[in-house]
Amino acid sequence: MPSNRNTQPHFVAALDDTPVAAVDRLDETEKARSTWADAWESLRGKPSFWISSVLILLIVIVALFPGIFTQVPPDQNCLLANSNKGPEEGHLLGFTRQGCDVYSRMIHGTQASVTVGLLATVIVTLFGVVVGALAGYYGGVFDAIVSRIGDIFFAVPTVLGAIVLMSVLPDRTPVTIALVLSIFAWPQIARIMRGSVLSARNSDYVTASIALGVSKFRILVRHVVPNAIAPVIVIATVSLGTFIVAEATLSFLGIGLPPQIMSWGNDINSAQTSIRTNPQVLIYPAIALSMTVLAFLMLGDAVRDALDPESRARR
Amino acid sequence: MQYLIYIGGFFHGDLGTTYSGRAVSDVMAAAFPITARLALLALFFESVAGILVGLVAGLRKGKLFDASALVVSLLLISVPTFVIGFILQYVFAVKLGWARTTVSSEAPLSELVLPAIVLASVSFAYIVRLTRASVSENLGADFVRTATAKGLSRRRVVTVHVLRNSLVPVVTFLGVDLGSLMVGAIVTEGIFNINGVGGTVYKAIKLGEGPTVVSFIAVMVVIFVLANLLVDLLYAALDPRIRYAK
Amino acid sequence: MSQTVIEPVTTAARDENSPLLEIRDLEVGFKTQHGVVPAVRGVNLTLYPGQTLAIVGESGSGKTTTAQAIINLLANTGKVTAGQILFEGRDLTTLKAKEMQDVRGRLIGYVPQDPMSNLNPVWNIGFQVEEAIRANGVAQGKAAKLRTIEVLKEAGLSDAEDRLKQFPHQFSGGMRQRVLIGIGLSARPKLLIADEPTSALDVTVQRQILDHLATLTRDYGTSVLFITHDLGLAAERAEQLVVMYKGKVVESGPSQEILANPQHPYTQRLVAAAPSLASRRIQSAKHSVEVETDISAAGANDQVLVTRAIEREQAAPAKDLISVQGISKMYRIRTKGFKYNELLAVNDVSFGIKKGTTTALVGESGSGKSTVAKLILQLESITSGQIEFDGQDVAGLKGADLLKFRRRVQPVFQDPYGSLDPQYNVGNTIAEPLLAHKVGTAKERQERVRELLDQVSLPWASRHRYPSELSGGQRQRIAIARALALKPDVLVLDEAVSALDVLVQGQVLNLLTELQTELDLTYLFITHDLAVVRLVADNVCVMQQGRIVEAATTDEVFDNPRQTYTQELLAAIPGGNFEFGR
Repeated sequence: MPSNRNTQPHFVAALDDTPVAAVDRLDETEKARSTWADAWESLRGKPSFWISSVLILLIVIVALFPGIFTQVPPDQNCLLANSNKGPEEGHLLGFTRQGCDVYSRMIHGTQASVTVGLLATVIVTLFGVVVGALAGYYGGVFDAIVSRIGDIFFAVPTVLGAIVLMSVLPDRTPVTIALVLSIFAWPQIARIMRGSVLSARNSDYVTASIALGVSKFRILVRHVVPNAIAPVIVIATVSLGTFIVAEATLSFLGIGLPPQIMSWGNDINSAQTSIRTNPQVLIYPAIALSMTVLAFLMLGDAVRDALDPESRARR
Repeated sequence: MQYLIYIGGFFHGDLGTTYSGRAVSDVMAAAFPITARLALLALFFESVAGILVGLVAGLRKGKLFDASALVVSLLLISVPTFVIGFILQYVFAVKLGWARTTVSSEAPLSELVLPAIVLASVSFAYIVRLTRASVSENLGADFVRTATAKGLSRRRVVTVHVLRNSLVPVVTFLGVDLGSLMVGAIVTEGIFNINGVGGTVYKAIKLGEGPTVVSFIAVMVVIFVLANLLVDLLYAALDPRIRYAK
Repeated sequence: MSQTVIEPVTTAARDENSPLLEIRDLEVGFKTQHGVVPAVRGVNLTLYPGQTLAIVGESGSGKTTTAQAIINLLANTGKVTAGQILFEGRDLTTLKAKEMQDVRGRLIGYVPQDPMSNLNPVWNIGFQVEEAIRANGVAQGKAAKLRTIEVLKEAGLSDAEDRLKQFPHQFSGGMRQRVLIGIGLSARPKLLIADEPTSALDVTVQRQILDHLATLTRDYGTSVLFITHDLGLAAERAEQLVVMYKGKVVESGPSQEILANPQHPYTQRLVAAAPSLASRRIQSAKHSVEVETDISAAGANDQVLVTRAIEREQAAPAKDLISVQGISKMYRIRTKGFKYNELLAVNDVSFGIKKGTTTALVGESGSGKSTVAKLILQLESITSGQIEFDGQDVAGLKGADLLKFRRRVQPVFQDPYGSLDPQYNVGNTIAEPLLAHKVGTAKERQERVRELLDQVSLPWASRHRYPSELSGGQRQRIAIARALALKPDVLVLDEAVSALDVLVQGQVLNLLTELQTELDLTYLFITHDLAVVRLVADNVCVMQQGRIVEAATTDEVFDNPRQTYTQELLAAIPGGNFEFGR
């Protein structure tokens, strides 16, 4: 037993010191914010978001209107006399082996590369989200079949599968490349969406909605999908970059876009032969390619941080 | 129809012949050890360096080292393997002369160092990011705080509790990443003219030898699937919750 | 057993009457985007050798931060900004990392809150105990292994030898908590910090573990610093009490004195709101049409009409509104391949609820009480038996009939953080059932939302809020408003107040009682907390392993429990029979 001397006096704090105002009263002074508004708030404060957004905007403008940025035709008037020549007036980045303007080709190559990346991303995301959401939400036979099919395609690494298909396909356009890449890439998005939908489906608010009498489809559209979509947005942003790399890799191997279509991958491919004498022919399209991929990666990272529920809760 | 016959043959071990008349299986047998050596070397580089850098970055989140590691890894992921290959080849082989531009046909380990670094670069960046995220998440875990409260040294807390737990997602990643390592091998072996599986596929693609490409890639996919089974086992060894759930 | 004796590390012999731990004007702040946010603001407390002191407070009061600051377990962003923490006269806030490492475990042990997340899932139990023993120099080599077994046995794991190689996920929550207690005491520290050591556990397990902890610390002469949100538990387990609110100490002193005679308004409210066996059913004070904006937090204010309940019981019609007859629910759990294990979650359960009354379904985790709720709500189908609502068999209702049933029987779920869609604002959340059942025009629906917000005492302006901006109690009020939107007859409340702090819990219980009288609602109240049952229920069914073991009126069950299990449950309520000053 502790001795008497160890008993401590009864201390009471001064009243005004610690206001015990209404318990659990709503703070009406703060502005109401949805989770998306919250995410936007957090995005707005990130330099990486602004840098990547400006870059992407620029890339899109270049892809849509190459004429604004250069008047030099990229694939006509190429004089062999100019072959591998260094920079000169009006031709800032020098010439290719065929004597074409490097800068102009870089600008005009944007369109094909971005088209493939964008198209593949849209196809994969739409298909993956729909299939994944239905499989995760309704389960059963549909889920079993879709998941097994997905497993088969998932077992083939995207570019490996694309190499096989592209080396046998007679017709090679941006659309076919995007389709071929999508065939092997959709299971990734579908899997993520399915998992995300599964966890949203088992959440209490969905159970509550069922018990309240809300219809099953309405729950899927109004509750499950909006809460499950965030990880897909992040992956889709990042995969836009990886599709552009994939297209460039295929073109580099000579089975991507045909040589008459200008793309960064094709230019890097044809630069191989002159790399030792004239490295800038390879460097500039490579920089354009890398900056584009980097922009989408950075955007994906920024969006991930903003949508991460944990980093949100910490604020 | 030809394809069906081919596929039937594939399952009987008949991989067909290349245009030069050699049986695909013979070429494969000669090329496989070289690629295995290259891939193992690359795996070694990317996992050791990746985990190390990722660990330090995760421990010093927000500091200079972390920021630079993040920037470098982003850049490495953005630059395609074949560009990295050309640049390193140009700098180290052409300009500095530290390495050979093309690897000799026996492909000794010393000549494979540069190609292995090229091959490992992108995955290295992914491993750095993954380890970093995982380490910083585990640092905030309750069991790490409890380990500290036990009176363990910082070093022990970091290695035994933080790092050990962070390895689980990294191992899973290595399995999936093998796919991009294979694509990388095609490109890298093409650039450095290595007579491995990747180099053979590279040449076959360039020469338009469709059937050779298909049979080699089919074998690669099989290896990929088998390797992922192996990773599943490794995963179970690393995480007892998986081990006992089965 | 000679290796188990540990010499005290301090050289200076300190006498019994100088404090072991003395915290002076402690301030702790957390760095955030908006600058340093203070979490602890000038805390003082003194703990003498051999004493037990409890810090009591609700979530966000700074009690855990105070405890973690002692051995510097604060997250990276947290820092002691002012004050001293004197342990045997030495200021712990000035120690170097290496010195602090020697204090941790050896001089001050720590038992964390959540047994599920505090053991490393990838290492076996033996490893995790042994490393603590080695790190604190208790024993090395083979002796460390033997000591590990000893520690676990002392902590109450009788089969310690066989379980050393097992992993945390193979242990129950109670067992894990025993392991953590074993680790905390393994080096015989002079002080043990126990941060809500049993909050995650069932009451009967909680009692066993706390008894065991008390025996151990008494035997070793260890002082204990308890952190808890549970006033009853604090009163029962500690001689000294420190009550914290918003980072400050509002009242401290001997437990008995504070509970019998609370001085500070916050403590008074806390004491008044603490549900205990001594309290009575809350009676609706008078159902004024406009509910006051600030609901009184005096939860168990018993002075009000006891007669209301009796009146209501007499007035109630003889027929049951809900009648459950012999229902069972069998789950098939897939084990290996195509083999199934059958689990009888609910086994032959029968009871009836009369209109306008509250029936509580009480049990520990795994008793099947929540499954019964799901069966009644038609969220899962029954394996056998019958459920009648208003004279109609509800099993297998479909389409429009099911919708009609749902309209009359609405749920409120346990987790106020999970049961509201984070993407929906308050207005849309409350209006959702109206929309689903196509009730009224947009304008009428909005009017109804206004009315409902008013009923749960939330301002009209709150309709634009999102759940993440609301407190637990506010969310639960939204959930109640949503459940009331369709003017149902029955509310099924599944642990609806369990996750809330005491004061807020009292508020919500009051609100529920008010609404019951006002709207003549029938409640099925599912909970693990017997003390809360006493406040709200007319009838009680006690469930154990899928069966109802005792069913009677609330007073009967509390005053005269027949079953041993019920008696155990009642005895396990912390501070259950403590005299609270009211």
